[in-house]
Amino acid sequence: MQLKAGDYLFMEGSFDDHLYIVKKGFLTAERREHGMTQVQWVFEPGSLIGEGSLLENRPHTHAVKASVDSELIVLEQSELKQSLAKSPNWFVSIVYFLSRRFREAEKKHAQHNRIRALPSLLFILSQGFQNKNFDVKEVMKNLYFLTGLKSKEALYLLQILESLGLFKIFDGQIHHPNYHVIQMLYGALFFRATRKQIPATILSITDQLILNAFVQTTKENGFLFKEQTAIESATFFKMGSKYAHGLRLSNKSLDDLLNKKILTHVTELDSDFIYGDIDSILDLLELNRIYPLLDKKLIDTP
Amino acid sequence: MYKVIPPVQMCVKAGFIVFKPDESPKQLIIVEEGKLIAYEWKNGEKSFVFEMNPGDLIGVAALLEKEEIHYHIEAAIDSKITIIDEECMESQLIKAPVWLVALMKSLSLRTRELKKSRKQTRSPNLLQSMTLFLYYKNAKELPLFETIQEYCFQTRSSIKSAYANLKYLHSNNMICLKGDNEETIFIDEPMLLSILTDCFSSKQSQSPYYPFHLSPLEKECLLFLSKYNSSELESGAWLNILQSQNPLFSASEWIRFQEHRIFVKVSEDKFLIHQEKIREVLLALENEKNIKKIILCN
Repeated sequence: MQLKAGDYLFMEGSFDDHLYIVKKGFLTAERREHGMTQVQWVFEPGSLIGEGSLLENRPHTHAVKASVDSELIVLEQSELKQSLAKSPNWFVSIVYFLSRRFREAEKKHAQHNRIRALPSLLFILSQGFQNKNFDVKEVMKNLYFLTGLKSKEALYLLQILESLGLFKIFDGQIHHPNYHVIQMLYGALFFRATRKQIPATILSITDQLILNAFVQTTKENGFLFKEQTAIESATFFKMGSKYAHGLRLSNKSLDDLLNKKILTHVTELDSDFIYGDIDSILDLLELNRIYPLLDKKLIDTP
Repeated sequence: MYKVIPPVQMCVKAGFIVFKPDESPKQLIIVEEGKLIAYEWKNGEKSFVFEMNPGDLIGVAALLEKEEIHYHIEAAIDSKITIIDEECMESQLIKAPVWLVALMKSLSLRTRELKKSRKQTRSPNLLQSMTLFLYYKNAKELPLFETIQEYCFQTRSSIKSAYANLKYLHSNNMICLKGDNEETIFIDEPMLLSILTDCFSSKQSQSPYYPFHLSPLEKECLLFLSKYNSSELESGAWLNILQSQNPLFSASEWIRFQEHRIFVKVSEDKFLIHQEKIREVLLALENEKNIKKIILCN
């Protein structure tokens, strides 16, 4: 088979059950990303093209184009079948195992790239452009330039974050992004990766129950203090337990939250109350809802 | 005529050690019936790695890529296995068509390349990604070490290459590294970084970067508009204002200005000057020589 320079052997997404061996010339596997062509592989004489399609009838993951005038040897799927029919079973198993392993490696590679690009996506969504909706294409383009993540994978990531309630996507725009939670999530991932420790914003279940109790009890019994929300300690300890799944609330149970300065305990003369910033606490609870789900979602997405 | 050396088929009892790293020869093991487990020794303790069921195999890399099997393989229950050693594999490979052997090697090689590439940065252009990162940081002043650390965390680029790119942006007046040990990054004009990333995009998509393709007439009108204070006006009124500045200004320039968001439509036929966009275009023109040099070299 002869190809002129610039001719396409096949296009991305097309089906084809042939195996091509480059006899002469050079070909490139390409992919279009954000208006630019990215060369993924270069095939030189002796290279094989189309293994996945031949063995597993998968669509081509890239377009392949001849860079110069090229000559190819074309093998039909029937020839593969004939050869395998003559081979012992264990040999056939190995051939299909190699194909399966390559497909798995491709899948893992895509998954790995997604996981790796997630912090950058959060970074883009959280940095300094508040009160603005984001254009999905623009975000995907910038994520590509920053991390090399392909649009299909970037869209998966966006859908994961949307499913976690961080924003809504419609009309090609990212609407109502929850900037604080996005920022905290980015900070938590950065901290976890660089310090190899659990970030201070990631709370124990007990602390989350206490904060939830604080939010609920202050709705009925709270008052304003220093532009934050406060509640008498005695009231909180008495009323809070029913919102904390029976957890007994006391000064001691607040230690961690007080150390982290999420809550503040005031004991002066005849005052004894606890206060905190309700908006920050709600964001913190939201972060702690999302954080454990994120890893699972990233791994589960195909 | 080559003779294929047949593989060894074995029935093994539960607990039988099928493979020991460093002791057993290179071989490929296929589970026909039963179940095998792979484990390794960690701090003197047996640590389970994975299990193998009928149809599973291990050791392809050992035979085709000369890599070692690092695990102990043991029969979890009474099992039937097939063992293919190097001689057996070689005899079959000699018999198989050349293209089939090439196909197997190609699949194996590409799998290995994919695994290897996980550790590498995927950014298509590291200078562009650094520029974009600094733009998104949206700060006038950044600590050098922490910034490099954060950038490398995101892109998996090396510290050396990140620092080299910062130095490059510094030497081309996009940023400024200051301090006794250049420990602070100063960004006088963050918009310049956004312009540079746009120029990279234009180059990659082979589309012209609008500010560098303005006619002298358009440049003159943009300078005029940059100093013009106005409210919303209809297109006809804008055309009159711009024609009074230069009579050659025509409807085609007006359309181009709209296309490039020099004016934004605020109501039915009312337009407002987009001063931020004009500032961006003029800033790009001021730095045209520098930007073109960077784009050309990268």
